[in-house]
Amino acid sequence: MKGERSVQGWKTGNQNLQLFVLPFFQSSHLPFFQLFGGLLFVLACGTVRADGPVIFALTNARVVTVSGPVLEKGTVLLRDGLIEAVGADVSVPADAWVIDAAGLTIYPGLIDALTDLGLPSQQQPAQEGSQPAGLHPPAAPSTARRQEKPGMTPYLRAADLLVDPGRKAEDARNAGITTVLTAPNHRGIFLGQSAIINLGEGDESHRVVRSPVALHIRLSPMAGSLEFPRSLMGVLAYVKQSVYDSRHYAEAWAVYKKNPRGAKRPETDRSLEALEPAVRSEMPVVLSASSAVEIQRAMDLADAFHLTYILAGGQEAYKLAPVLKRKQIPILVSLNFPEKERDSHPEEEEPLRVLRWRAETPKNPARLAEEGVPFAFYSDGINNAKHFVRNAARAVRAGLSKEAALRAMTLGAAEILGVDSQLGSIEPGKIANLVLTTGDLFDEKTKIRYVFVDGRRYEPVDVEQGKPAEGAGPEAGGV
Amino acid sequence: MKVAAILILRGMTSLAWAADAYVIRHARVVTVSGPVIEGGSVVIQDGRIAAVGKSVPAPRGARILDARGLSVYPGFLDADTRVGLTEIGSVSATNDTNELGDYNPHLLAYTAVHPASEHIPVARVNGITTVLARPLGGVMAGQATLINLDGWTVHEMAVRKTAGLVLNFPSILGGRQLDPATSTSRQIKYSEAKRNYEKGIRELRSLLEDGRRYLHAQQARAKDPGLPALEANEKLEALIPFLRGEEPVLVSVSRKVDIQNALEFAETEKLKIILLGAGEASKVADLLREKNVPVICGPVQSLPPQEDDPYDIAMATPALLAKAGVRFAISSNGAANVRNLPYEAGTAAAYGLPKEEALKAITLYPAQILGVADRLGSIEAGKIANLVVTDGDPLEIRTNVKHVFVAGKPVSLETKHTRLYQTYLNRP
Amino acid sequence: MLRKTWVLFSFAVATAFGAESVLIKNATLLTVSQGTIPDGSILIENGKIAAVGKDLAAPADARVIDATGQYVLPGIIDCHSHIAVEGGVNEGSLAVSAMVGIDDALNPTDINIYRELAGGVTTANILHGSSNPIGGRNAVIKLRWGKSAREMLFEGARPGIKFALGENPKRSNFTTPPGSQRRYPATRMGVEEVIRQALTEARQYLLDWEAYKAKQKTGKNPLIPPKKDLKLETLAEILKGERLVHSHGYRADEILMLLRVAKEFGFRIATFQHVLEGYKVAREIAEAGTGASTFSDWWAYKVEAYDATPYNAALMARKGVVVSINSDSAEEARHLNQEAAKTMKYGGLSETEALKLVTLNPAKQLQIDHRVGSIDVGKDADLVLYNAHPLSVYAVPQKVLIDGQVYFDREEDRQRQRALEAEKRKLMEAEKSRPTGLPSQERPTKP
Repeated sequence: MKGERSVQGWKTGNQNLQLFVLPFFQSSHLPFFQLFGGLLFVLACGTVRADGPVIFALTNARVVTVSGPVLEKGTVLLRDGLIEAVGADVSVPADAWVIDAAGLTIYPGLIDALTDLGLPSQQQPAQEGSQPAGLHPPAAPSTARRQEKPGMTPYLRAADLLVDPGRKAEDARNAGITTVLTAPNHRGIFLGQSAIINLGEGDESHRVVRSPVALHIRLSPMAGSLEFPRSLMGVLAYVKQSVYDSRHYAEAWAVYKKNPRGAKRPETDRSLEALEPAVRSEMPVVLSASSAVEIQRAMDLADAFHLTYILAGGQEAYKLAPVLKRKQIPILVSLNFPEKERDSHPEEEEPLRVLRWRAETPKNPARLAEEGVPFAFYSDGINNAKHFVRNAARAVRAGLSKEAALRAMTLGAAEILGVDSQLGSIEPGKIANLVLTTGDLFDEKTKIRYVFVDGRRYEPVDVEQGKPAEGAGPEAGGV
Repeated sequence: MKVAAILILRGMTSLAWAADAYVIRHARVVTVSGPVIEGGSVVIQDGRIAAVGKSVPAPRGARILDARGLSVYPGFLDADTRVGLTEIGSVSATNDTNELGDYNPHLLAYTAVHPASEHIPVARVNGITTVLARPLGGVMAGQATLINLDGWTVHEMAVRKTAGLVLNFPSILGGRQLDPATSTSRQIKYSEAKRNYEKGIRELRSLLEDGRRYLHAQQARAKDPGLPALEANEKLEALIPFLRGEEPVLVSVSRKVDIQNALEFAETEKLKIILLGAGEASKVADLLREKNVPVICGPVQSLPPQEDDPYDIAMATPALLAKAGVRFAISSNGAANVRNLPYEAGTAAAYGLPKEEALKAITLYPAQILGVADRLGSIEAGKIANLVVTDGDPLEIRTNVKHVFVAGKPVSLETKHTRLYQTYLNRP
Repeated sequence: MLRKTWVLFSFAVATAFGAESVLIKNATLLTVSQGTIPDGSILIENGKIAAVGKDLAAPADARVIDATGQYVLPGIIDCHSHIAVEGGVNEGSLAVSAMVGIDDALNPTDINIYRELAGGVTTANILHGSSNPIGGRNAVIKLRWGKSAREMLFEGARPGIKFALGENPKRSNFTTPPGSQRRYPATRMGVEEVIRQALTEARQYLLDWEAYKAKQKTGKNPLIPPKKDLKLETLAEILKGERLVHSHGYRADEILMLLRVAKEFGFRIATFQHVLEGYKVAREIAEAGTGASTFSDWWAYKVEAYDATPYNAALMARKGVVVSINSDSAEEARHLNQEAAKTMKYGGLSETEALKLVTLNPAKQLQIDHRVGSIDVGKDADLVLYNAHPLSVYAVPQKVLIDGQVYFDREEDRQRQRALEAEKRKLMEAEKSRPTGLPSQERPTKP
């Protein structure tokens, strides 16, 4: 705890309730934060959170701004949840709480560009071979009304479904992830609309950075479905018909509203209504696509309807890199790199296709970067948040530059998700999401010392300190 | 039509003739066991081949078949079929291949052969005169039967009432398992497959040991009638010839590692085995030769077992086995299309097997493997007169079968198919 | 640098000729359309057959294939295939699934494409399954192994759709999953009714659009248009004669049923598929101008296949039906030339008649005979070089060309196999030396 002043006294929160609560209420950023809730949070979380006035000056740090050059020795000034200033000669205001960050490196908070963190739990066994995300999601969250069509819940908004993410958010934050794009991930096709949330503690309404962000569509058959669509071609037809239906819905209502008298009133349909922004290309769609064939298929579909789209999965995107570059299609690249099934017969030979898939997938990001395809990383069901950075490091070893890898977790992701004016780099005016590390982010030995989310400081506690962390190794696998 | 004795070929299936003697004359006789005899004769008497040669005397009263321009071959033997045990694939009422239960060594395919099956004449008219018909279900499916494809009853048809115990050897690879509730399949994990496999092997070993104890007690009581009476057990009784190594166990197996396991199992249990199917046999050819385990392979026209296998591995397997010195035969592994057996052999020849070997693979080799080479598989005096007369190379599709003799009798070339053809050809 | 590495990884099977001219010489040409040319040559330019005959002169830069002792057949066309489809060939949830299309689910990396290519198949009609009275749209593809799904589509092939009659659409031989109801229809009566109903709806759909357009012209106020419906659009194309119907069917009665329904709705059935009892009503099929695509000799696998005979193809051909022999199987497709040979044995077709069953006739049935199906000047250079007459059981394809490019070469296949095994060993070694990851409950196992 180098160079820090006076946080020691209330490190365990509950013993110093008085000290803890007061600054909270003084903060204009958290008007609804309940005393009781705050207390519960502190008790429930393993993180030792150091709260206080939200004006920080992080001095003498190496600052990796991402948007500009690296400052070998600089100061980052945070006020009221935003970055107020950054530079080599920023003067520290009198009210700022100074943290001497000499020896530490400051990065923008990391962004996990697709997850279901914070949404109702869905722990189910893996569904082999059909779900690009590697997840076998449960049924859609129940809503009061009947579900109109199978797999059709485009009206679901992640921001409305947020639950206390608990440990998961804390683990992610401890691993340097300050922001996620979270999207409904249940069994279905039109899954719903995603939200960007910060992983600070507090009421969900304060965690949401942007909502809705995109409409998420899974282009693969629903496992075990007995209803239409059951086949892949059925799914494609279903998506196309839904786009036509939504267009028709919009047209029918427009005609009706113009001249309702004497006309039959069209039916209302919240699904078709929810599809409208995406169908009008006002909202991007995120399409799941892993293999080159799937990527081509998704592109053909989206292009046919002039949708604005982002692809998620992208394991074989490198095979289509030139066209992806030309069309500037952003890819959310899974960091859950495929691994050999360990529970298989030692002499059971796998097809070359599968061996190549495993060997080539970690090289994919380097190839995309080389070609100039925009991409961001996402966790894709990684069950240990630390592997997010660790697997990005694996992509670095496979040829990706560290700068590009970092970009894919910060500004690059923010750009793809349309929040680059708020997130992704260390620039004045941006949200104060930062990670302070003891060294190079991709170095295995590097520890995360502080994480700032919305200007509030979190201090990761390694509960297993002294013991080697689970899976620590030069090539820790994706999951 | 140069055939003088054509009259004998109409409507005389299995008719008992007073003097069952025939002479095929002026034919190209492909004996398979010996050299080809150009312009040779085959004498058939009392169901057997009485004589073969360039010029052999005809018995008095024998019917003469002038086969000028034609060739005579031994009838083809398909060593792995379901002929007679199934009629219409999708209709369970017509299927008698799969009994309930895992261990049924005492069940006999012989019992369920339907001599009036339409499949029998269909196979026969293309020269297949003998088949091994076998059950499929469970682990020990039951005992196969070796039948000639002509006869009023199965008793008349049978060459060997029982011709091997069918063992579907447990696989250690697991494969995929279908979940009927969701109609989706999942890969069985190795640990689970291994558990299942080990359980299967334990059960098999335990059953075989039960059989050995049964046999031991039986032998002891034969020597000393004073010993307490032994409770009869049909299952164990049925196992005895196989435990003694007198009769072969027909092991149905396909993957390389499973073949290796089956060979090891057979060795420790001292079983005499023949492999059925064995799609990956060519990958363990040296081992098969070393252990002297024969393979009844087929169908040759199959997709490769593995994605990365050479595209023609199934077609080339007989050639690879022959090259490695493994004993083998070619089968259709069918029921309705056993008639294509010669083309299976022809395909093997197209992909590297010498043509003479291909012919042997559906005549003499399966007869040897099944232990009936003294009666079947070649044109030699004393053997059962199963003969095919063709207008050319029988492995060629365009070749026509002109006459078929089963157990010394000419059989009709009429089938359900020819009847329907004639009927609808004449539809105005 | 990195990019170059992965390009090397993909099989470069198709050999593109810079010169774009190829001369195949000294071969026996089985043209199918104009008999056999011994010691013949074929000149290929820009993927098309430029000249056929004896002693052809080739441009100096042409690639010359000396095919001495070999036989050249037009590429085999399989009129019934289900290869190269991802995520199921049946949309079995509905009795009418005309909204779905095979083209949406094509998988150009299916190894069966290569295997069939090695069996001489150059064009395949990829059909939806037979679980519905009206199934999905088909896709005619050329087996351009190594190309993308879109590049495999047979450019300009007439669109089509699968129908199915009999046991499959009435689900006779299938168990209903627990918890679900049996799907209508369950009888041949119901099958007809479903088809009639769907076509009636499609007819109404066309009328609705016509009425809307007419009204729109005269009316002042904007109108709500009818809903665009992918299923009905597809069915309407049948009624307009723009979409070929390929109907699975077995029994004579159901064949006649569909001919009646088609006549009533004013369109023609392009082909009956399987049509194992076609020989019983060959006259009616011929009169309707409908093709028949059948198996050489499969029978007895279900009740409606119990009256099948290997004489079917020959009998229908004799009665004037355009007949093809198809595979419906990735395995069977690899020896369709042999299957064709069976019609010489069963029914006495001539060599040319037999060869047509897997070349020119399926091309006619798919209405692509202006492009493929025979060795004629102007047609696509889709050719198979055999080491023996393709009606012989001993014939093995040595080279297969599509659009004048060699997509399969038996010699190169050996090298390909060696390269594959070497790469496999290398990757397995590399993986062994890399510590594996952590156990996980969630891990993508694709592709």
